[in-house]
Amino acid sequence: MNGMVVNSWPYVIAAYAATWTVLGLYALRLWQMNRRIEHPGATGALT
Amino acid sequence: MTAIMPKQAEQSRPARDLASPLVMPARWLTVLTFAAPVALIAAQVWSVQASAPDRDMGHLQKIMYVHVPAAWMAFLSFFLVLVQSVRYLWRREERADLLAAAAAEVGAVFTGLTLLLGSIWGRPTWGVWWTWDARLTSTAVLFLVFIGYLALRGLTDDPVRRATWSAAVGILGALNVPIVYMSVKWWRTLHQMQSSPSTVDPTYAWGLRLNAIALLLVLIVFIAHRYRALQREQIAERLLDDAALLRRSGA
Repeated sequence: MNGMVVNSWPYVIAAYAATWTVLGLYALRLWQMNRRIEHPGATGALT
Repeated sequence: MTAIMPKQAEQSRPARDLASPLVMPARWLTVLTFAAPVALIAAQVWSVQASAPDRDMGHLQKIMYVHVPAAWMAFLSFFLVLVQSVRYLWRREERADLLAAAAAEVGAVFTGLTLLLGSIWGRPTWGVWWTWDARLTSTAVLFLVFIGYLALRGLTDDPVRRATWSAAVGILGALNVPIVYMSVKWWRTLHQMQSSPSTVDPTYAWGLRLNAIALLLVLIVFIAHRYRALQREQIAERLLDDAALLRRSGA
């Protein structure tokens, strides 16, 4: 380790959490986009 | 008048062109949509538990399994943008423009993720979240070019003009990829040399390969779904235009 990083796990966990957050949010955006196109009136009717 | 309108609109040439095949059969896309996250979880779990801490970086080395493949996926997306943009300018196929747009958006997501992961790795390694290193700066420029590409698509409603402008910016943006890739060799600033299964320690090579394959599945699923949405938006746009035209001619 050469004393470089005392505790590297928080950074590793943050990196994997960031990956799933970014990919998850984009997947959600795609799902909403396709749903809006397939059911154009669905969201409008509810609000 | 209203009875014949949808039929005539349906038969309009651009809408029919766009309605032809998706990137892949719908059933394959459904299977891949479920398989991709499962593959990613499996690859990450296996690589994280199988790799011993690195002599210098300790457990930080595990960030490589997401950071490096994310950068490769961004490069791959922009290569697709380049190919489809050239195809559009050459043959004027609208599907090429839509595929380029889908790949550009997904590529921008992966570039943003690459920058974010690099920043998380850089803080404990270099002591800073960000530095104006050649690799970081050229990647940030690449990211901004494709954000500009996506913004440009919203500037005009004319599909031909939109596709032509986008293709030009897409080609210029994709030409930045070799600069990003070679920046670590040409300028030799802070960022380390490119990591690949052939340059990393053999114990880490399989983790890198598996994560790259899993992320490739995610990339394919994202591009296919975004392309499908763009295709449907375009068809709806055309049908509305046709309907408006028929209404005007009937009035």
